Amino acid sequence: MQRRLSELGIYSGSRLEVVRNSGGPVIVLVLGTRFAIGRGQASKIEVRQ
Amino acid sequence: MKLFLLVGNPNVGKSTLFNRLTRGFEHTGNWPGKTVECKHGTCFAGKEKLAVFDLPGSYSLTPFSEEEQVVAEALANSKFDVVVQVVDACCLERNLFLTLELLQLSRRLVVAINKSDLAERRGIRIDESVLARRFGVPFVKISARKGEGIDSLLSQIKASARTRPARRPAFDACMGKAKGLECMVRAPARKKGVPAAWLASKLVENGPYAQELIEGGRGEKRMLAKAAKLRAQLEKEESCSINAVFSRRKFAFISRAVKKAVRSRPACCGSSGAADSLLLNPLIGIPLFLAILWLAFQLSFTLSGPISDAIAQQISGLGQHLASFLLSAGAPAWFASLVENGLVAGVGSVLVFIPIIVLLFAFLQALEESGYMARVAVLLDGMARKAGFSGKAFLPLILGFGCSVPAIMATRVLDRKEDRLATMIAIPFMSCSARLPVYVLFTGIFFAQDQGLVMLLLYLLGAAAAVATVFLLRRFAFKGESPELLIELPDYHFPYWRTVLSSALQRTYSFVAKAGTIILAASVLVWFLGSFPYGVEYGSRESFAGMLGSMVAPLFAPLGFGTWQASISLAFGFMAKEIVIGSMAAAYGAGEGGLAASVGAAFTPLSAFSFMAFTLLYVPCVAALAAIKKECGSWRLTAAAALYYLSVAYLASFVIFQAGTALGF
Repeated sequence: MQRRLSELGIYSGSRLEVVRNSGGPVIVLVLGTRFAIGRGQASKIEVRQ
Repeated sequence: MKLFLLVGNPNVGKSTLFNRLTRGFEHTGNWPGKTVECKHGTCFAGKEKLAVFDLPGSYSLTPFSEEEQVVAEALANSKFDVVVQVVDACCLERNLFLTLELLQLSRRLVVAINKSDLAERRGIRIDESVLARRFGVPFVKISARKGEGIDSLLSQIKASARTRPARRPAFDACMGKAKGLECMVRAPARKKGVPAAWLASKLVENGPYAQELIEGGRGEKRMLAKAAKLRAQLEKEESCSINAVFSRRKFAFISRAVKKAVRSRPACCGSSGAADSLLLNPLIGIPLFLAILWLAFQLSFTLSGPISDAIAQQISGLGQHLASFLLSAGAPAWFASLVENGLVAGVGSVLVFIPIIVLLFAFLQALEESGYMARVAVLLDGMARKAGFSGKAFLPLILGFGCSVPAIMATRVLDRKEDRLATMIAIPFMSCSARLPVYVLFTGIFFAQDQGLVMLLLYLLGAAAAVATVFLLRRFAFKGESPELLIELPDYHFPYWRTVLSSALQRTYSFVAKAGTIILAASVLVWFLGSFPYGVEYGSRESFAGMLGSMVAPLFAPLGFGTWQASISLAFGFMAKEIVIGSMAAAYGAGEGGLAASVGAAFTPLSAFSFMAFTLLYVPCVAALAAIKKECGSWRLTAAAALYYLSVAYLASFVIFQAGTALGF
């Protein structure tokens, strides 16, 4: 899973925008594309503002 | 004939380009031993004929899903002349990641920048010559929808097929550190037909597919140790995991290239945010989803109903004409009957399916193309997860209320083979439209007061059986956790009629071609059972079918309907649920009108409910079984599923009738 995320542009040090985070999967915008990520997985991604 | 492969990320318009190139003439089939669909066709570049294979959409060549496995294997093993990667002009950076992966594997690459008209409208200016210089392969701007740039793409493909490609890729993720390993893996790489540099870098990356390639070979341990050492060194240097190291380097390379090549107003792609905040809200989204589905069903049934009826009428007319023609030409009576009741009726039972299948597929494809289906998966993911399956599995299950066959074929949207198989086997429990005539007749006679309620009960029973089946199968048979949801939400856009239509027709054709032959064989068998021994009336008690009915009737006695007529109509219903009522009428020697009286005398309300439950749950129909066989590729699994349906139906009806009797109904 970590490999897949990194191939989509979500890896340590990369930038992303959290579009929606209100119950259910989290939606992020990365490199111009929106992805929905399951909550369990998303909670393992550390984000800094 | 030169052969080229089409690859690309999902949602970049690859199918549209494929459609444009082949002018809609394409062949669909499964990859050998896989449940993944593959399309191929031919196109013309000037006078030269080219063969083109459309590979499933994928983000990278490190296989994550079965689709990507297919892509990786096709690129590593098949003999092709050129690879054409389709990229989305609006999301170049993301798409060029796959370009780097492809470059490692093959340098006969042409990149088609699709949707370049859309990008220009959004103020994104791309200089493809800069990209070509940076990546060392030609880039061509196209618009697959409008058909712009297709000719230059084709001539570029022809040119690339002729020239020798550059020897070194423009980018090396290991920055020259893997040279030693590259020398070591040269022998296994040559044996498997992949570039040594690719194999070395994938070994450093710890890719499972690369490890398979060197497995059992000479020096395997040494190579793995060397790769592990390099990996540890890289991870230590950048103090993060190897995946992050590689991705960071690749995206950095891409970002530098894109900065030089693209001038754009700083705006992000699309504006689907507002629609999403509405559609992804469960309180609004779920009712809306149900409403859209209801509309799609209603439209499919309403629109296809008259066409199906007309086809059925034509077919039966044709059958009678053919039979009387054959008789007048001196053919034996049995032969005329075989043609009328066997062949023509059998072909007819396939043909009447066609309008509904085309329409349902078209609606499904349109919803998929518009970007809505990805949202539905997000919406339903939470609920599905509790039952142990992925949010995407809801869609095929709900389609099953219409017809099991397209629903079973729709399981292809699922990423995991385990999810696909479990859902596929559960689908026939969803009460399809063919069961309706049975419900209508029986509830009309026995439950005239609560007709709607009883029907709803049956639908719920079916849905509960389906969900329980997925749950149990995922728990005990097809184990393995379904991966957490990770799905791209493409921008909403209006579906393109060309792709919708061609996909619907293509799938229908493949259904008719594959399932049709099985249905035909089954209908001939049913005809044989119904009309022999020689001289009996078709479908009467003296026929083989009648004897069979009498023989198995005692089995059904504990369920409340141990008559030979009920048994035989169920046996015929194995072919298609639509003919349960018809064959029951034939068995009672009554027209469909007089049937109500005979049924009213032969059943009680309880046994009628038990009969309906059995009809709902037992083996769906030959067409559905054929679809399951086609999708899962295993006769054993199909047979096991059929046996499972029979046991569930028997058990359920047994419980209903016995418990009902004990309670005094």
